[in-house]
Amino acid sequence: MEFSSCVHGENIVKRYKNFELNVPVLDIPKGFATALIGENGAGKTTLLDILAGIRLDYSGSLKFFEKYNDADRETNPVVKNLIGYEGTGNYYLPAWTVKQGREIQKLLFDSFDETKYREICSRLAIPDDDGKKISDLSDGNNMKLKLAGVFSRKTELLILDEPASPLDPLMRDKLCDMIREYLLLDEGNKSVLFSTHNIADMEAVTDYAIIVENGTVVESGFTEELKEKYIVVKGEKKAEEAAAKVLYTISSNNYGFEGMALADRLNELAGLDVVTEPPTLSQICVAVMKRNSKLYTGNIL
Amino acid sequence: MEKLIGSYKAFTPEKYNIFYVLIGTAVMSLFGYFLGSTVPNPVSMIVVMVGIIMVDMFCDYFVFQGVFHKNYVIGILKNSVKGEEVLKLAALGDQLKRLLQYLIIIGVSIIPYRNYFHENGIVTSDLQIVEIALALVLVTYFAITLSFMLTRMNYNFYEGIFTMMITSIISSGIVMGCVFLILRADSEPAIFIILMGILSLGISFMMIERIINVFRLSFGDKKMDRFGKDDKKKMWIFIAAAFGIDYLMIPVMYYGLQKGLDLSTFVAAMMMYPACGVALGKLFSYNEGKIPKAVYVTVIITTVFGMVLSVLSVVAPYTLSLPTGDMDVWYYVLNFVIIICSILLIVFASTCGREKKENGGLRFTKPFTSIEFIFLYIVLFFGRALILNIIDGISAGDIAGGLEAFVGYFTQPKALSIAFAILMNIPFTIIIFFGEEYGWRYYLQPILHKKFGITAGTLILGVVWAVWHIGADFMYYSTESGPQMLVTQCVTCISLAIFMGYAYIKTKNIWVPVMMHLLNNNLVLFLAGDTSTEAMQGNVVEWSAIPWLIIGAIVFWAWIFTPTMLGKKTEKAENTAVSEEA
Repeated sequence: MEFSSCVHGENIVKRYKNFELNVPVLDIPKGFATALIGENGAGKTTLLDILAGIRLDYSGSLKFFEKYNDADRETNPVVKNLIGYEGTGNYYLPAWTVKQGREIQKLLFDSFDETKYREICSRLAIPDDDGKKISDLSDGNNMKLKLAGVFSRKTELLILDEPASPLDPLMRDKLCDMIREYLLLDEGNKSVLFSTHNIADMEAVTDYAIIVENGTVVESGFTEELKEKYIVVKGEKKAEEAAAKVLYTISSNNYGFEGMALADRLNELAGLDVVTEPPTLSQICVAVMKRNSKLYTGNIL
Repeated sequence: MEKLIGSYKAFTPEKYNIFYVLIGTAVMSLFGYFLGSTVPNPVSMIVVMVGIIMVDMFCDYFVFQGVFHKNYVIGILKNSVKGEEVLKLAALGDQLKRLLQYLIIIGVSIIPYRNYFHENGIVTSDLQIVEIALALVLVTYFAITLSFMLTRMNYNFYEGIFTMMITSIISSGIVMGCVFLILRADSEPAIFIILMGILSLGISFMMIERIINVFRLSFGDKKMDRFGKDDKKKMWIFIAAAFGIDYLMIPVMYYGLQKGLDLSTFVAAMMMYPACGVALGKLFSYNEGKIPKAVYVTVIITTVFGMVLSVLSVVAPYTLSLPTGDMDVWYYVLNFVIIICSILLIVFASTCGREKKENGGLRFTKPFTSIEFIFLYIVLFFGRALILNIIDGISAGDIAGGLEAFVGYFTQPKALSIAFAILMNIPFTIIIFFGEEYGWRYYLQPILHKKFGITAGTLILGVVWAVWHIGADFMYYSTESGPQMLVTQCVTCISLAIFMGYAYIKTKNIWVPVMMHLLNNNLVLFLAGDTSTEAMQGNVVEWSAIPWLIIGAIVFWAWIFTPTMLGKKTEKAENTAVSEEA
């Protein structure tokens, strides 16, 4: 599918002592919600930090909104103001109260809309207690507060690092709705990039998926395209050996096997006693991750 | 202003602001007032000031902890374009709050001391009490900021407490010493206002810069390219240190002169200010690459010692009787510091590694040309002396007598011992000459050359350099013929700026002008046949002598007509470019 990219990156490299992030090409489609999916330690946070300008010790070139490069992001305040970032770890000072958190956002962001912020906070049922320390809030409420902060600014790109992990299932659903609403606000111009290691919860809102493994992008594409590219194959024990040569990934149990195949290799399975069914996004992700993971593929115990 | 208060409030707990800042200030003021009305003496004043320091340190550490420790490197600040500005304003607000608090507490506490001050002859007017209060405020402010600089480097809670104990002792010591000096009958609090003002400004600047530095480093971009070149900032730091401190010391020198005190400490100390400006500028800019930090820290330490000791030499003069004659003890201490720091400078500058040397302009490049230039300088120095002697001879109608006087320099009985003394002095005094040349030749010269061209740039540098000496000209080198001395200084500085500038362009070796400057100041003693600093003091210069001096200096200023100095040689442009890169 043709699309214009909100962020386009080339040869993004960041080396750590025993880990290297190396992304030859990266495209975040404009006007869609993009999920960055990967194992823990796959390089998701590093990549998001690089895109948001939180980390600057990388090499490579970036292009934002099709006209600004990464030097503009640092020198032209317009660009950074258009990027909303929410990070894990140290995002607020632990000593801040809810009130201070609000005040500081007024100072830091020109486009911060306080009434909207208060509205979102009350709609998300964040306890209305100005004197309470942010560090005393529950993880879920803490995340809600951060989300309220980024959603009440005038931005064109949201970069959210693991927004769903501390939230309860209901709130995750709500978050998906919020992202949809955000994308509809100014259709086609706003984009969201979020990372997650639990794609099942965010599947409803994912338009485009980027799967990162061992510091590099191993698969990316629109959800529909990916669903056409891969197919789930199930069969009985006797067909396993023949199928294993063709399948992308396979896992077996006492009664049979289940695996993922590339749709265009499906004809090679002809004649075998197998059934196929369309995959879910999380099945695809697991299969791709499994294929590229450093984890031992056999039995661990 | 609104932004400043907003940033400060956003970074400080509300409870801290109410309980410590408002109620704490009121309680401390009342306590000070009560103590002052019961026992008005310097000791109770110290108790109040040390009390302030202790309360502030403990509050900062326990209540306020985390805000200006490393924790302030947080995502929300890094995501905002204004993050750095808000952080800077918050830190500035914190310091201003502290200053205001101390103004109130000490201002209130000092009221009951009025009678005590008048009875003991410490003050003659109430205006002086205000001066004393201001001096005490600045002393306390400096002491506590120094402590914070040290404690806030520790992020570990228990180590922090240990550092806090040590630093409270240091800051209490500073406070005690200063209170006793300020509250003496014949003291001049204005001098403390100047000294502590400089130190406080310097340390506040360093403190805020450090916070910003940690914040900037957290982006992981060590080269800091994105923050652009810091040339302007470096220039301002240089001007503030080299000229600001120099000129602020003039009133202090004048005070010392009125009292008939030895001002040698000032003149030795002032030679460090230019290099200190460069060192601070380099340490606080972000695109310098690897720099010889140890060298810079040595320079800064020498400067601070020099500054403090020169002020002490007039506020607490203390003369030591030596077999060679009386010596101001502070000058003695400064000489000791200079000896140690000169050795450290040589060690650090020669061992810091090629890259740091290159970035700091400390390499001994082109050793043969360099040594040739140094010897050429000696030849030219005596050439000038010869010309002046001949002129003297002609005016006296006895050219042979003039020549004899010239030969007399070398045949004088002390000649060998003076030459030996000069040679021995090199490793022990080099830092003060490095102090000047690193500022003028290494830092300022390329900038002026770039801006005004080589010829004009060199001449401007000469004038700037001469005017910088103004305090010493009027109060040290000459006390009666200041204007003449200043013009003489201009002649000397411009001609030396030309020759030294030429040598520096040719060699790109800072040690060449450093050695020339050292020889220049020491060979004067050779001509005077005397090794004590008295040879340089209280000279009388006649207006009529100046034209002859200009003629004599031809050996130096004639170099302006070389193609290099006229800017006609293209090779020089490359050299300037190289120095800019470095």
